[in-house]
Amino acid sequence: MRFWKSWLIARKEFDFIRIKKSALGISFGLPIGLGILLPLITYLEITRKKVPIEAVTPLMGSFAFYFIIIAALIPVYTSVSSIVVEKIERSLEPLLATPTSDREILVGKYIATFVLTIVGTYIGAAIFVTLMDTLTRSSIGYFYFPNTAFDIALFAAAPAASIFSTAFGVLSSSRVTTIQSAQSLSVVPLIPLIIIYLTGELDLINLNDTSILAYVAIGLAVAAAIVFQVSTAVFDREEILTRWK
Amino acid sequence: MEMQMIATENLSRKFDGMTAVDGLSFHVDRGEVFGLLGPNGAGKTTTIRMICCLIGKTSGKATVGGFSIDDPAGTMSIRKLIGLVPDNVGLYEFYSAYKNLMYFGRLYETPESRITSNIESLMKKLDLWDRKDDPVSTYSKGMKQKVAIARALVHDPEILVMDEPTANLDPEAARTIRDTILDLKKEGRTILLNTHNLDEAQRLCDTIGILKTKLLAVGKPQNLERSIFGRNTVIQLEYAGDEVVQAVRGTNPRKYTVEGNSITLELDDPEKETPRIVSAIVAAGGKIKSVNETTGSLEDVYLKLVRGE
Repeated sequence: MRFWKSWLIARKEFDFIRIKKSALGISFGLPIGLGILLPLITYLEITRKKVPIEAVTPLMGSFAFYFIIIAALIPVYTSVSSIVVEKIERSLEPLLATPTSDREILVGKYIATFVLTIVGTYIGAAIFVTLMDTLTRSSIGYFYFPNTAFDIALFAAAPAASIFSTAFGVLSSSRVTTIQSAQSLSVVPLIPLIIIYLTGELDLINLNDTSILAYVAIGLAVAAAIVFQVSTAVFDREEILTRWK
Repeated sequence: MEMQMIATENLSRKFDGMTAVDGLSFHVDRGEVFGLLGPNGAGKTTTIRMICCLIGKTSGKATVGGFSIDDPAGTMSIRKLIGLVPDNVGLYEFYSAYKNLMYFGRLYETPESRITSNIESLMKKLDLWDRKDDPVSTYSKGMKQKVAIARALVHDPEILVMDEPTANLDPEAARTIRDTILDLKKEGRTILLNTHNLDEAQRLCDTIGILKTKLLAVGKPQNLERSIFGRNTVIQLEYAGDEVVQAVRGTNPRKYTVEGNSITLELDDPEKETPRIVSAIVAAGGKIKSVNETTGSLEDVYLKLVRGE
């Protein structure tokens, strides 16, 4: 495994994404939008609806989970298109003809998707923290963010969610023959995250609990490692070249 | 003995029980241009993909530059030895031609200084240098095909494998590509060329293999024509009278036909027999206008073999 080759492939992916407005919109527009929208909603809840602070702070804490979901959502589009676009534009055959291993190619794709997702998510999170603290400090009396739960969500669970989703996207896009079916299949990693979030909303678990978030992060990391191994093991260049018409 | 750069022995490939390539045996010597000629679905692309280690084989053997396609370590060496021009150019349209070539040069592990000098010389040779920084999406089909050829050559490979390089090109662009292949041939490159263009195969290839799942025939274009159709000698006379025809019959040719004042002879050994027949005709008072050798064209050979006539 030569990392420089993966990095070379990742750089090409960055160049492609840079000109692809839809990929940029999803990677940056979505987390930035969320980073602006959530503090504004919270501010309106406090100032207009006069919701008590005790009821608002648990909600603010659970917002951190949105960034885990975002980190899993962005790769659904970007990781799938990175393989499928190469298939459609027939650029995969010359790429596969080079002395580059499947793992080097896939890791290059993972790096590009991961970096893009994490940069987008962190920009959104930075905006979220700044705006939220600015708008709520006078009501709460202190800066609510950052806190341990948020740090675990952002620096442990979100990267793991991103890798898990990326690996799943690559896995599905290398096994199916259309971008639509690959994207449909790639939303699967979102399902457990949405279930956890809804469980939190139903007060069955506390999403502000650092140990819950730590378990989520560990679970996602284990799932990411397994799916990553599976996705590289089942990446079948022959299947891709011969089944795609 | 010339080194065999590509050699296959009973190479076969099946897809879901359907045979795409069946028992293929041929070899390509260093510096030789070998053409695989066959209709669509004949197994040409499958053969190329097996040789380039893009897909596996079902049975048989193949070596490229002495490395077996079965050996995982040899696979990487084979990929370095080969420059592939696939049937679809598969370029990154958002990149300029220069960036496409730079990217692939690096993937082929070519030293940076050599990549830049190779790109410059290839792009100048292929008349692309003036537009080197334009996105490939703005190029014509012919230009894209040239970029694909440059991409295959950027790491200076010993073997060039081309899959239908002039398909879907206009005549002028196809001509340019053919001229480029001729230049590469002059440079002594080993080339495996897939085509269904008979004229192209005849003009470019030293050896031709006619493929239709199985290799139906292999040989030099001229030899193929002769081996399938034999060699005919046509003697054009001022007047083919009875005496002359009698004289021809007396030389015992394998077969002869008289049509007007023209006598067509099928001979086992034209070099020896033709002078003897000419002498007999002259001795019988015949006046010869011309003596020519004819044989079936490559197209005749191809159609006869592919149609199984």
